[in-house]
Amino acid sequence: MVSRTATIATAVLSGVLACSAGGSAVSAADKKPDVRKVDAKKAEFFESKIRPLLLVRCGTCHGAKKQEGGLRVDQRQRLFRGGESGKAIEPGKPGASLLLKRVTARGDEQMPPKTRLKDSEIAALRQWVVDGAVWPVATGAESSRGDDADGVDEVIAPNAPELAKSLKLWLRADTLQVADGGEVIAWPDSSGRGHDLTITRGVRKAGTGTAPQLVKKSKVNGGPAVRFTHGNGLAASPDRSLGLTGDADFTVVLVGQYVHDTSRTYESILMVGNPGPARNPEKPLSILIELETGPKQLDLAGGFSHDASMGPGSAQVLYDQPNILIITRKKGPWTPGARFWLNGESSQQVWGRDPVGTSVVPDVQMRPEHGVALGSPQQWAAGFQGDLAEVIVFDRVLTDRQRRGLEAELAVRHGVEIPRMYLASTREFTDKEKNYWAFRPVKSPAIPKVADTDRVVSPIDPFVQSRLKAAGLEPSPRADRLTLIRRVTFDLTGLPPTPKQIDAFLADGRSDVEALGVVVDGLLASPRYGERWARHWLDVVRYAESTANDGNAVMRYAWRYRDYVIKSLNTDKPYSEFVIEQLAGDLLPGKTGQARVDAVVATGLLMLGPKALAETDKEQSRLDIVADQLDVTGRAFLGLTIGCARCHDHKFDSIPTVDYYSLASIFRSTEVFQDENRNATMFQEWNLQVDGLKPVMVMAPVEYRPVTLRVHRRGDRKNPGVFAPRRFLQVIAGEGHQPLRTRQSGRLELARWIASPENPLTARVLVNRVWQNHFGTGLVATSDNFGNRGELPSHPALLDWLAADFVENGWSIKSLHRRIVVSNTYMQASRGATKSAVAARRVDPDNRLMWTMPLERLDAEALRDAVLAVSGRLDLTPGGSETGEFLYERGQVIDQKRPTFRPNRVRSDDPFYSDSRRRSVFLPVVRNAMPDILSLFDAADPNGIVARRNDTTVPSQSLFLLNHPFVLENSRALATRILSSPAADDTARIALAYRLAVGRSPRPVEVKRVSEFLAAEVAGETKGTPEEKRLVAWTGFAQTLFCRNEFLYLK
Amino acid sequence: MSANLFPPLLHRRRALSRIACGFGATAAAAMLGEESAAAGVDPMAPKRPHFVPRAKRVIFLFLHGGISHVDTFDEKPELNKRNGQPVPFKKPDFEFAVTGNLLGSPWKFHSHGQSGLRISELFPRIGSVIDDVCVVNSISGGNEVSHGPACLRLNTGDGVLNRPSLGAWTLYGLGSDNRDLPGFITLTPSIYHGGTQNFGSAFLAASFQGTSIGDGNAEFPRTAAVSNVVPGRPRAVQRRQLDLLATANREYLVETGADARLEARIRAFETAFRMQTAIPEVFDLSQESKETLALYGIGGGPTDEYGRECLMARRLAESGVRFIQVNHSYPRNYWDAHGGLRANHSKNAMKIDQPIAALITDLKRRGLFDDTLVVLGTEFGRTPAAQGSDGRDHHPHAFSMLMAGGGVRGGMKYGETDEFGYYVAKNMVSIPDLHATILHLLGLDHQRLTFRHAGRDFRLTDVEGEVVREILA
Repeated sequence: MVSRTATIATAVLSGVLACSAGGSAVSAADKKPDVRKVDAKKAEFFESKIRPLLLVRCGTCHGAKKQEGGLRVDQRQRLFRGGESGKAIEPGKPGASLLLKRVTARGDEQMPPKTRLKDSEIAALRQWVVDGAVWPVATGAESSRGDDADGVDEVIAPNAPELAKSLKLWLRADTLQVADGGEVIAWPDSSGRGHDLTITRGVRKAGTGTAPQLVKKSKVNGGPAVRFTHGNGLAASPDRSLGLTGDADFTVVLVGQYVHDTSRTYESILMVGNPGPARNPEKPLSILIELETGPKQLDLAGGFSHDASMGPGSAQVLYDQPNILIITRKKGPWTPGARFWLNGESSQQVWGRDPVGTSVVPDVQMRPEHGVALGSPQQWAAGFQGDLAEVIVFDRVLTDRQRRGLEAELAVRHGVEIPRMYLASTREFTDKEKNYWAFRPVKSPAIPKVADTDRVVSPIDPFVQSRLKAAGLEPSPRADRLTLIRRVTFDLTGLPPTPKQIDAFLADGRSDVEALGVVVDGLLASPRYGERWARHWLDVVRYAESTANDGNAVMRYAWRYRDYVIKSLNTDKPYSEFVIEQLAGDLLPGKTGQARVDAVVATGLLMLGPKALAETDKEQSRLDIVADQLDVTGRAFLGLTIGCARCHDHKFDSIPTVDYYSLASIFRSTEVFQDENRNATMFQEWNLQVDGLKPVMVMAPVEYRPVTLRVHRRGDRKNPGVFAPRRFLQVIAGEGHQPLRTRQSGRLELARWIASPENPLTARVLVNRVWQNHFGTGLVATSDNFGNRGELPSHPALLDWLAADFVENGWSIKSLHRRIVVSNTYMQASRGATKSAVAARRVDPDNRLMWTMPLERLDAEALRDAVLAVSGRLDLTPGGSETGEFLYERGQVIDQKRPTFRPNRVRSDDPFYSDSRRRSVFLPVVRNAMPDILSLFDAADPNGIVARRNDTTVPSQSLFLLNHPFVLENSRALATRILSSPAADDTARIALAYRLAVGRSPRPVEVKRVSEFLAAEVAGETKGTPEEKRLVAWTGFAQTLFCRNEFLYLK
Repeated sequence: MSANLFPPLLHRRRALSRIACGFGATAAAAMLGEESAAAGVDPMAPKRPHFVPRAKRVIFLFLHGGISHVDTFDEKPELNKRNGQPVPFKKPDFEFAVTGNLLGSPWKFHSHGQSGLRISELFPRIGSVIDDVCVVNSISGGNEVSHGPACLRLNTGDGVLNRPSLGAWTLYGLGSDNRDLPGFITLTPSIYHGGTQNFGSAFLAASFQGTSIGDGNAEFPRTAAVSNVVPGRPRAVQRRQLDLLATANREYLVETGADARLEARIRAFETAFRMQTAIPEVFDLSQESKETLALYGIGGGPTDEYGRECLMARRLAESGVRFIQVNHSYPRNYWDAHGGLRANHSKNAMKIDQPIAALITDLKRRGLFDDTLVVLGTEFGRTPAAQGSDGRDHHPHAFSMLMAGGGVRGGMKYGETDEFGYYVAKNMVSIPDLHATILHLLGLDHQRLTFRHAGRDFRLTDVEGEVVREILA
């Protein structure tokens, strides 16, 4: 193999030796006769040493078969171009060649990862690169590939190697060690050249500049800045010149926001002088940048005051928004030599006048007092009002690439939008992608006509029945009333009907439909409804009261979110509002009083996820939280697995990686931790002040500032790609959708987009969830995934009809319940493998066509609540802080400096869980310490989103029902309840027990059997008084009721 | 009784789609194939592996806190020679704390057995069985420099996100051979550093999660038991209750028509009833001979606790438990020697050396060694550079583990670190590689053992993992 390629290579040596991507190293080859000989040697070196090395040591993962990270080493062009991490080779520059960086790295970055290259191999590679990375090729056709000129995909810091030499001044507000609101007496220079600025009043001769103020949350998108008012002025020492003369190249960068104050004509911001021995007051400053307030212009002048201004051109200044202003000037005449960019856009010069004698460049040698100054260091400078976050001066003109890279760096750091940064981020979609079923607008279809209208109760019935008919199937007969009342009561409230409720329903003389309607209205009006259905929602939003992972810190105020969900459901808050509040309730205008509290508490949604608090890499930890927020937003509201696009374009759905990072930018613009840089163990818990109410402690995020992330290639934040503007999912939002320009995070805009009637997913996803919780399976069986990997809807028309109807009814969930529950479809009997159902099972074994009502096991919460209700011990106290306070008290203080940070110390077998008599939704939800009664019966694991619970049948559940103190105690309580009832005899007592537990009266044979059991128990091995023995016997019987399938399952 | 009314295949299909939200294709196929009808709703039913397994079960000995590789299984003469000198190359980007200069090992290394493998004097007894052990010196834990993420990565494959543990995946893939015992048991796991997530099942069915016996806060209980296994009532009473219950449940089944779940629950009560006796029996060490107890060092002294745990592991393995994790864990048994390295590692090694050697010996003489995979692991190694004068910091970048039995070649070393033990120099074994290898030995292809969740197929090894074939016997 190796020798063969060597032969080919030798044969082509007489041909053109193409140069590498870098270009310059061997481009002169053709012109110089001796170069060819040298290159023949190099080619031989390549063939003997380098090609085999690349093939053997790198080729397995980066060869013809696999191209990990997009890199391929067996083709010249592909190797030079590099992979996802960028260009692999810079000919002649081993230090700049990624290939060498990676083979010499140790640890995580090392390539090949498993077995390190030998030192001799590394040396050979280095030699090859130093010698120009010659790779002989067969033809000269291959050419280097130019940089992708479309978008901006690099950031260049002011002190990047290529700029560092020209960097003359760099003032950064974020480096100031001054308290918020404190005076900035000195602003140190970060360029390393010592051009520190200080106040001039009392420091310099004739200096009048007083100290500006440091503002930690300034108008520059909430970041730190130095706030100037008239009279504030800072200047550097005159003997520390920037070295700029009047006819100098320079680039000035200002990041700030300015107040439009028309009381003055001119306002000076920055002045650069060149104090020297020749002091001529007639000669101007090197640079004067000032605002001209009348025409809202920005002047670049070569004068020492506005009077002597020789402005070569002015740009419209953007008041009341942050500006990244970049001015460059080339030597020579002023006007043509100067250019302005405001927020990345080249500014039209609206006015320009060269100094006297147009081509004469003023000899700038003035102002002995200052090297460089800001604001008003002396009376003659007008000064300005506004916030300055950063000031940079270079002594040369940056190239367009450098300027764009610097703009991007500043835009990202200061949260300023630069539209052209996003050119590379837009993506076009095929018609097939755009017309994916779940992305098409919801249109209400006509209700199908069915012949047998007797069985049509709700508009949903014709949809179901027409499909059944097409499959040759019939709906099942209606369930009996006892079955119906148990079914609907558990379904809507999570509790069994009381004997009284059962009797009333059985005795209701109206039709089944009418009687059921009355019952349903009553159940929906009960506070128990919200407690039940909140739990379904809490599954979907991974509700918990501890952070999981290694800290598992107690989230003391999470319960408020739980109570908010319950209240929202009980008051039938429109779902659209419910969505908006959870994503952006804190940003909703016009909310006052309790409504404001509720809206802020709702955003707890964004805080509830698991958090890795011990992560050493703090930014990584933040990004993981963003990933969690995106996951819940995608799957809970939109039924999309957006998280799949974190490392690569979604493999199945039309979600490019850039869309992931666009949404991530929105969430990254929100603060989850109190101090992201220092420690992540203090998540946001704060005192919410609302007029007219007592302050309320909440766990809720707060606005940070607009952040624009870059795509993390392969999910690696150290490998950034194109900029991802804050924007929604492109395939749904459509081509006209522009990046958000809001000065807030963008959550509110996102929330409104999700909750809009035009969003094709939101209503469909919600009605499907509700359907699933009534029938066990959704119309779309994968209720959190409406993407290509999810299942298609069993009844697409019904799904759309329900979604449209839901929106039309003001997003009312209670109306939706009524539509679904008061229907023939819901009232069908359950039919197991009875003879009558054999045919139907053969056609549709999974009951996707809904020819029967499936048998459902009580979920964990309903099971526990039912046990308590039947034993008469259920405590119906609603909501409140009990869980939060309990967990907080029991949490462990491990750091006295952070007493509110408390790792959870409550374990899954804590007696609190068995002793509590409150509804299950009010038990503490501790990640990784769920109590047996909940986790054994498949309660949602709060570490993740649970769209649909498992339904397992395992012996550990039986062990629990046989031996757990909770069951034993409640069995005893039920026995006591029965024995202390006014029932006349054991037959009546047995009947009462049956009625309480399973809703019906026992058959005579059952009474006989139970009586025999009781008799055997009383006669058995138990010791004690007859009363005690009797109680034990009845307890044993009561326990069997809780273990019965008839108790555990609903027809 | 009612089974004839209804073709059983349909039962199981329906049940499968319900219980697991989409089983991996292989597991589902296995279950629909030749399993008994009982398999329908019980995720613990035994399943066929992908290919002939070398090991039927795993005993994972977890040493919590990070045991130093250069002081135990990875001898570094150059490190000793350059004791006190600066690290001659760049230290890792990700470090937990600040470390100083190189610190030679205070312990001597000796050759053992026919293989002549050299390990430190901390483990003379393990040395005596070294010909049965494969020493892997090139484990890399990525950049997980904190205990929590590192423990989670070792146990679940991911340091941050909630993922099923290795034991849970094993049960998901293979089910359990003894239905009267939990299939995955973890002894004295720490409640810290990921806690139960380290043996959790995440999005897999809850029945795959590990059952913990005790925790790291207290000594391994002498009367160990599984929760809810102590009968709440006398046995005779329970029997009568179960008879009453069974009659009622059978009547209900007639009423509803056959349903695999209802049938399974009827059986589950009988199984539970048997478990109440089966479990205490397994946990009763008094059934072991004096000689065996002595072999493990049980009967007081530093080896007593871990000895009892290792012996328990053998008993559980013998009884068909699929995955057994024996934790030497925080806060009582902790290898996190930031300072006091000498004291810490001497004391801890003393506690585990004899029990581990005894476990290997005992498994061998009972014929269990060949199909039991024993792994000795830790969440990371410790820095070859000193922390203070007598300590080492966390070091995930290169460290050592031991593997033995169940299809692993004994008496060999695999992989190398550089001359100081800082980075892997040859044949790196990442955590996904380790997981892929363990699954492979169990007859499972790590790329085929998948579970559909949230729109994609998850694997223990995510998108990584290569079986380390060189260590297979």
